[in-house]
Amino acid sequence: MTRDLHPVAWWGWAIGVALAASLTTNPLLLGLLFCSVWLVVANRRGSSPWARAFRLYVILGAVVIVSRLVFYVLVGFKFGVHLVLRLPSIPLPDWAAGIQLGGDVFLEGLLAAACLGLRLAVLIIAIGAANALANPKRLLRSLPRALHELGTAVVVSVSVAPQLAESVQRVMRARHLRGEAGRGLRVVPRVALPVLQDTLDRSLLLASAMEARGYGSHTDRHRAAWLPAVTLGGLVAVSLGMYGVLDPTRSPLWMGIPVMSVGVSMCAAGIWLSGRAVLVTTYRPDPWRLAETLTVLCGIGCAAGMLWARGTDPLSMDLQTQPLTAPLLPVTALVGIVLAALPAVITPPPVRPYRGPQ
Amino acid sequence: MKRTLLALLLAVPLVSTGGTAQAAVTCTAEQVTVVVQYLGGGQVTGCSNGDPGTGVDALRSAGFSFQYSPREPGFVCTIDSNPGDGKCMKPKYWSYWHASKPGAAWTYSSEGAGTYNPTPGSVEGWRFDCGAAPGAASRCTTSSPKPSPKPSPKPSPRPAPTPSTHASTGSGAQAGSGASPSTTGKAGTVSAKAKAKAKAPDTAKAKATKAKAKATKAKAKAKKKPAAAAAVVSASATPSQDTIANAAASQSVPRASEPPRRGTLPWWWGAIALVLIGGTAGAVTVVRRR
Repeated sequence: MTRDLHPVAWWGWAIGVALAASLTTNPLLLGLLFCSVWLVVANRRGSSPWARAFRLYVILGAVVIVSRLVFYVLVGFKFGVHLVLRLPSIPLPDWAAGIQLGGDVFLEGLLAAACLGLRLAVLIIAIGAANALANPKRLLRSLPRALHELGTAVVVSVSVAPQLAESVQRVMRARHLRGEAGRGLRVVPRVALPVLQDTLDRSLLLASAMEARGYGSHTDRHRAAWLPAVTLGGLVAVSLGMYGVLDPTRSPLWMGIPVMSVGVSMCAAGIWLSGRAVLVTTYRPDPWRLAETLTVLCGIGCAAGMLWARGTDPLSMDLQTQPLTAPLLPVTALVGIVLAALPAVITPPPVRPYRGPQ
Repeated sequence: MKRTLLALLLAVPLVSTGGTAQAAVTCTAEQVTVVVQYLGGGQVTGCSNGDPGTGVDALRSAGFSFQYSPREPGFVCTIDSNPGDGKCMKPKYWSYWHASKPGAAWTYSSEGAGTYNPTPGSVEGWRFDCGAAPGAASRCTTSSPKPSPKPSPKPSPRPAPTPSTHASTGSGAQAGSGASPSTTGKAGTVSAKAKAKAKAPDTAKAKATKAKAKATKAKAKAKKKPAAAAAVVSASATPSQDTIANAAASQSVPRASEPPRRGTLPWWWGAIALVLIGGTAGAVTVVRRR
């Protein structure tokens, strides 16, 4: 049976993989994580425009690694014993002490920089996988009911860019059919006006369609004036508690977890209470079944495997450069990576468009 | 480097004169004195071999081994495998200090040891604490002391050679308590350094210097994680300067090839898995594109 997986499940899986990637600089583990993510995306992405964006995230990851290396050679801290590239070092004045411009590049430092870049790249690619696999519009529908109107506004605004591109293409095609020549910057004023008009027309059309479907017609009968204060107070408590959690040495003990949990519960209560006033019906519900739970568990298991390996043998989770040794493969981390690849087979295949008999 | 700037931010007063540079060994004017104080108060002094180009060169040539943090290259994480658990960023870290000459006040370094060039005759200080200078009282707050469920590691089977021995074994034995400095800068005292390299999870043999001070052997039982022991022995012998320098220089202990650790596979297993998963992903991509 083919169906689209719940978008929240894909995001849970991807966040688990991203967390796992952030825990290691071992190039073997990072490469395996990337291959797992690639396998899942290759096997389970749909045919929507955003599903094709995965390649862009991979390119972005490659750009991250390359720029990291370039900046390492330019201003990075060079260390190691195996000389790779002999470069002159440019002396800097005293106020720029600590910044090394140029200088001999050693293999150890270069590899360490590449692994740090690879870690960020895999993290970006994991989030890109979630974007490719999950329908962003359906994800916004899973927001709590209190944020429903906000979600609607975001959906409308994120669909502007592809529509604008489509508008431009349409106007250009029409010009081409009419035989109007001209390319480049000179045609911009002549194209801009029809595109603007087209966008306005579409907006009015969308607005009337949304109004006909009852968007924006809410009643204020349950909305109390103190509800936003609860949510706002919760947010303040969360940010205070974050200080306590992140710096337990300099803040009083009560400021950490207690304030944080009070803030989180206040936020949850505020959102839930104000959500009661919003009446929303669902046209096409996204079911949460076993496959969704398993997918999220795979993401959690991947992060847990990495955490376990980090706790038992932290040296094997990082590339050792002093001296340079081949990276090891912790078994628990490998189990986590296999878990991360599992959604490629345990999830239902996505709905494909009908292409006709072939 | 910028990582040391991070460490700099962690220190509360940036220019803290918590103590003065008291060196137990007198180095020549061409050398750089390196004072290293481990967790628990054990303080070891060494002399660099000649004029080192950077702070880490001074550290290395004075007979100390160090490792950068693998995730933050440039941030000195361990000196002589201390701390053994690899937790070297928060709250305790190796702070880096300078003093113009022995006896002068410590100033917190505004530059990383990888690029700072110490002047000959100056003193370099390293202290594993929450930002305290070598010899000063510990800055670590005792608000969240780690309860040590296990007793401190087994005492050394051999009796300690002198009563004034400060040996810090394992980790966290004296964490949080006011780490008092051990050396008081008596003229003529010698710090013989007994270093224990505990890479394998068995007994760690400590090597003593070849100085005329009594050779000390300390055995530290490293239990699960590799721990290191540092012992400071005060003896009344006064060897010549070059003896110390040579002894310190001869201490660059070659790292033995690490035995395969439990729970890890060699790298070629990873390469096979990489080819398997990556090959499948590539095949799926190609098949689906058709």
